Amino acid sequence: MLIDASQLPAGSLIESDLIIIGGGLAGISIARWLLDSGIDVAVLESGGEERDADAQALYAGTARMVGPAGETRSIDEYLVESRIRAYGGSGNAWGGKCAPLRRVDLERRAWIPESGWPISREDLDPYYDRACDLLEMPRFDFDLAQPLQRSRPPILVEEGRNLTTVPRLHTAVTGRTGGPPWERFKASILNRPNTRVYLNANVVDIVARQDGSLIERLEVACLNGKRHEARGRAYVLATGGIENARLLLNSDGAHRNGLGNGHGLVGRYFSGHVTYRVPRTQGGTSVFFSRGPANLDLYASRDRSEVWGVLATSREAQRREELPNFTTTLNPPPSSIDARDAAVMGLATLADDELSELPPSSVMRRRFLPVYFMCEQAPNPESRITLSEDRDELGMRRVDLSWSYSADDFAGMRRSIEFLRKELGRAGVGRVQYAGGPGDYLARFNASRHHIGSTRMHRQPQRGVVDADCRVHGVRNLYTAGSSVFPTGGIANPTLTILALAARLSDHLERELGG
Amino acid sequence: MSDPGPAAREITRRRALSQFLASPPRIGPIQESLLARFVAELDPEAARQLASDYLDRNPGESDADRLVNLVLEGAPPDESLSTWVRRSVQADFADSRTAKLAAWTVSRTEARLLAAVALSA
Repeated sequence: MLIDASQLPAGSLIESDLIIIGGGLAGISIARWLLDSGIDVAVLESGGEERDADAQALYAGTARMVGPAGETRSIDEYLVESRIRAYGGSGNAWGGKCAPLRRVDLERRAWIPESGWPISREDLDPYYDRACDLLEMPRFDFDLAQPLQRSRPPILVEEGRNLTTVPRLHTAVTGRTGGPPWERFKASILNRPNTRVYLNANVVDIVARQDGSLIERLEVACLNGKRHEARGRAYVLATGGIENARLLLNSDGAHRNGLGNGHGLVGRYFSGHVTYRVPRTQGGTSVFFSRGPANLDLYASRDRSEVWGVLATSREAQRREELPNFTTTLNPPPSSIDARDAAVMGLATLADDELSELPPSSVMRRRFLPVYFMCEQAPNPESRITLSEDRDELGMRRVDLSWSYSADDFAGMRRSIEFLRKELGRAGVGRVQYAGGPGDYLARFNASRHHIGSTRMHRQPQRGVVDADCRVHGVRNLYTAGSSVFPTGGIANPTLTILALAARLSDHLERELGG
Repeated sequence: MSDPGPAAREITRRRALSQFLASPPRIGPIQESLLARFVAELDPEAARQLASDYLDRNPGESDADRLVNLVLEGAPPDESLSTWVRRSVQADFADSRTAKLAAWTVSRTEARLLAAVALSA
C-alpha cells in the first residue's frame, strides 16, 4: 500500500514491527524479502513517486575532495547530483551494472590499514545469488580466468597470475532504463497487506531511550509542515551512504555526538569510486594489445545482455606487490588513430615472434582501446562526513563532506598503473598510453555515485559503527543497510553487494522479529 | 618543405632500412619482413616527432649508428634480430628500462629502434 504521509492528519502514529527508513533499492529489497515472513513492515520514503526539486534540495550541503597535500576541489553539487530522493531512491538513476566484490576485497591485507571485513566472500555468496535472482539476472558463478565463450575469450596474461579478468553484468531492473522490470520491482511490495510505503515521510530524528541502547520512535516530518511519529520493534536505516551517517549524527538526543557514535566513528572512513582518464586531446589513456584474442568484445562490447570483462590486478599480484585493487576498463576503439599512435602500435608488434608481418591497420585499430582506471581507496578516518551549522527546510543540519585521499592512495594509483604498463610489456601483450600523473589525479577524478564506509562494519565497537549483522553497536534494535557499512569498497559497483547484505539482514530480521 | 611523394618516400625508407639492417655485421639471418613493413608504413613526420621525444631526453644518443649498436649490444651472433628485439623489449619492461613516446610507455629498445629509423631517414 502506498500512503502519502503529507496527506495524513498531523500527529499521526505509524506503527509496525519493522520500520525501514528509506525506500531505495536496499529498503525495498528488505521489505520484499520479508513479504512472506508475517512481519509487518513500514517503509518511510522521504521523496514522492518521482524526483522533486524540493525534496532533492534537502540533500544540499558542502563537499570537497582533498588531496594528500591538502589541496582541495569543491564538489558541493555531488551531494545533490549523486543521489535521488524519491521512491526507488538512487536506483532511479542507476545504470544497472553489477559485480560482486572479489575474495581479496573482503580479506585483511596487511598493506592496507583497517582492511578486512568481519565476513568473507563465502559468507556472502548465497546472498549474491539471491540478489541476482531479485534483479532477474544470471548468477556470478563463472570464472573469467577461463574462456567463458569461445567467441569472447579473456585476455590471459600468463594464465592470469598478474592481470586477470573480472566480470560485470547488467540488470534490467534499473531506473535508468526504466520499463517493466523496474516498475515491477518497485510495485512488488505495494500490494501485500503486511507492507506499507509512506511517501514524503522524512525521518528527522531517531529517538533513543536515555541510555541510547534502544530506539523508541522516529520523528517524521513532511515538507508541507506536518509532523508524525513512527514506532516499531526494530528499525533499518537505509537512506544511502551519506544520509545514513547524517541521520545518526543529527539524532543527538541520547548522545551529544549522535547515535551510535560513542567512539566518534560515524561519518568517518568515507570513500567512493572514481574513474580516472586523460582525454585523447590531452595525451590519452589507452591500451594497445599487440597480442591476445583477436576479438576483444568481452571488454569493449556495449551489449548489456552480455558479460563484460574488466582487466584487474590479480589477488596474487596485489599480495606480492602490496597493491590496492585496481582495474582497467576498456572502451570501444576510436574511429581514427593519430599517426604517432599508429607508429607506436607498429613498434610494439616488432617484438612479437608469432607475427611474420605487420597486421593491417584495420586490425591494429581494433586493438587500440581507450581505457579508464579505477583504484581502491584505503580506509581513511580523516575522510569524513560531519554536520555543518546550516540547516535544511526540516531543521536538520546539513552535510559537510571532506572526501580525503592520502599519499598512500595516490601512490597506490601510480604504482598500479606502473604495474599494468610493466606487465603488459613484459609479457609481450601490449602497451599503455597514459599522459597523466599524481599531479592531475584530483582534478581528473570522476566520482561515481558510490558512497562507502561512513558507518563501517567491524566486530569491535571501537573500530566500527555496525557489527557483522549490520546492527549499530550498542543499539539493540537499529540496523543499517547500504554501502555505508562496507569497511572497504573494492572496485565493484556496490549495488549487488548492498542487496546481498540486505538479503542477509532480512534473514536476520526474520529470525529476530518472526514467530 | 613539400612532401616528396610516396615513391620518393619509399626509396628513402628502403635506404634507411638498408642502412639500419646493414650496420650490425654480427647478426645472423635477418628476419626483415616485419621490420621492413614497419619502416615502410611508418609516417615520417610521426617518426620524427616520436624520435625527438626520446632524443630530447637522451641527447647522447642522437646518432643512428650509436643507437643501432646500443640496440644490438649483447646480442648473440646466432640469434635472429626479431628474437633479440623481443627478448630485449621484455627484459627492458621487467627492469623498468622504459621511455615515453606520445604518452605511450615503450621499452628503451623500442625507443632506440624508432629513433634509429627516424635518424636514418
